Amino acid sequence: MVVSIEQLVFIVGNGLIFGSILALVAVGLSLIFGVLDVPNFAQGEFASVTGFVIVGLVGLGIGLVPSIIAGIVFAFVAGVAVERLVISKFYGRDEFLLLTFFATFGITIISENVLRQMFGGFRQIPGPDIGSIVVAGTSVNLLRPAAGAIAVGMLIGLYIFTRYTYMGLAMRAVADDRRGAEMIGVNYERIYMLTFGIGAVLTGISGVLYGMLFTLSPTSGVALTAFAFTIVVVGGVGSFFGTILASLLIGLVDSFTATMVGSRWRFFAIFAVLFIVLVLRPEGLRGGST
Amino acid sequence: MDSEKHTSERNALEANEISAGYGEAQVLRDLSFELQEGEILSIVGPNGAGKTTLMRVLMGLIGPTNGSVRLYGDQITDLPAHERLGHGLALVSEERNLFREMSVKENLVMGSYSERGKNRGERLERVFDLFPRLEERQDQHAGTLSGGEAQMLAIGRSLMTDIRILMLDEPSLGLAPKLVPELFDKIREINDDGISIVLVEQRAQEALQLADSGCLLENGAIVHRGAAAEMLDDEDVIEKYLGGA
Ligand SMILES: Nc1ncnc2c1ncn2[C@@H]1O[C@H](COP(=O)(O)OP(=O)(O)OP(=O)(O)O)[C@@H](O)[C@H]1O
Ligand SMILES: [Mg+2]
Repeated sequence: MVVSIEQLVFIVGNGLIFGSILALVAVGLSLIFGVLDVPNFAQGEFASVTGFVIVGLVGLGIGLVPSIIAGIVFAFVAGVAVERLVISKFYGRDEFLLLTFFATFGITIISENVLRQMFGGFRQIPGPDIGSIVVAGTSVNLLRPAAGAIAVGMLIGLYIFTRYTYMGLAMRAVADDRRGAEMIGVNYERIYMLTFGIGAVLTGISGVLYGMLFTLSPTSGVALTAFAFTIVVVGGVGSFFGTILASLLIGLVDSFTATMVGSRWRFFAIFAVLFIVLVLRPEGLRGGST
Repeated sequence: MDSEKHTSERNALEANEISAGYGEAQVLRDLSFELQEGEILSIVGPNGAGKTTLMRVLMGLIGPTNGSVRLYGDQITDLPAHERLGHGLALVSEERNLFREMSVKENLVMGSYSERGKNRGERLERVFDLFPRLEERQDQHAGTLSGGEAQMLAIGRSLMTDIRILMLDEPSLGLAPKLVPELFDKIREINDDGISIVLVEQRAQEALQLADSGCLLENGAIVHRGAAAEMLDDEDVIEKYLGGA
């Protein structure tokens, strides 16, 4: 298998962009799991639903920017609604982990079917035309690197938010020791709600980017959820940098496999990475550190 | 002890006929208790007597099945824990409940959460004055602190807001014995700043020496209460809790 320079640039570029979009899903999943202990199987749905809401609004003739804003607001509301209407019913119950896993699994099935009813099959968000440049002999639509940059910007924003704002610190504090947070005045139920909203927005933004660069389908959500769970395990549960590192790794492996081996081998390659990491480093790439 | 002490007769915190427990298991039975403003009150008693349970009820971490809690005369029985801090009540729990994955500095900053950082610099300085060790360790993860340092951090974190009552559940737990007098000195210093103190302790003798008054908690009820100095002389108390004469 010989890889040309052009192919390499293409593979690495696409891998990093796809990886940074995946990171938004994985970080959302990881945040919700860290703070609420909910293994949110519906995480990827926040991406597909947001994407389809925008597709729908644009289809109604509403401008791209207002549609995107509405889509992101919708993601926040959807996240808060899932926490308030579903997850909060299980607080204090034994088997919380299992109950919320199945409940969010149910949400995924409902969401997927509603999307199929409303939108049918594959759809795309018409991205803005911001031109293209020629790299290593191929023309690259600037939308691709721009999407990657937006994803990276969001991740940096999240990092700053969790280090330097009271709300972000409170999220980490609740994740760390709920009792301790309660005693110093943190209303943890409010933090649970906001965490779900913020986790949904991060993933919703990945849906916007994904919908512009690739195509959305009603099953995109489940696929992204599968990617995100794999990434969180590969990166080390609870580690922010581990999650990002794993996202980029998975993005690169996916891109390489899709280009050089064939699309139908993508999931095989990703689970191979998962398997190798679990055998060599069961605690994940950055397990134990943050 | 301190001669110029202003313990007014006003009750800072009071519990009336509290019953509480965990599920079927009743731990506290019709317990009444009061803390006077400005004093150090030491609660002593054997393991399993219900001291920690009482602290949890007072802080609002568990609800009593019966009875009421008042803070400066206001009824707070149903107030959730996170709102009690705003009324000036703080607890340093037996487990300490530090944010182990966060730095020492971040733990302290979180201590000022309820006031969103009001007077943060000033308060941080005061905590570092009280516990210079924390300043040296400020960038370290709280989970890597020694027992004594962790206790300092737990106390320091509670001093990051404007509190009036500090409850300490076995602060000497896990501390090297030679560090205990130093810790108790700090507690006195905090009290000298006008903060009323509830001190739950296994080290009954040392605690009663520091305290103004004392309570003996046994089997979920307060069986004795009085001036700390008197309790130190009480034959009965000595025999049961201070390891003989
Ligand atoms: N979370 C809990 N769930 C069930 N039972 C509990 C719980 N915490 C304490 N208990 C029980 O309640 C009783 C009183 O415990 P508590 O911790 O209040 O005692 P304590 O006086 O603080 O003891 P120690 O001196 O050992 O700290 C004990 O019998 C204990 O087993
Ligand atoms: Mg106890």
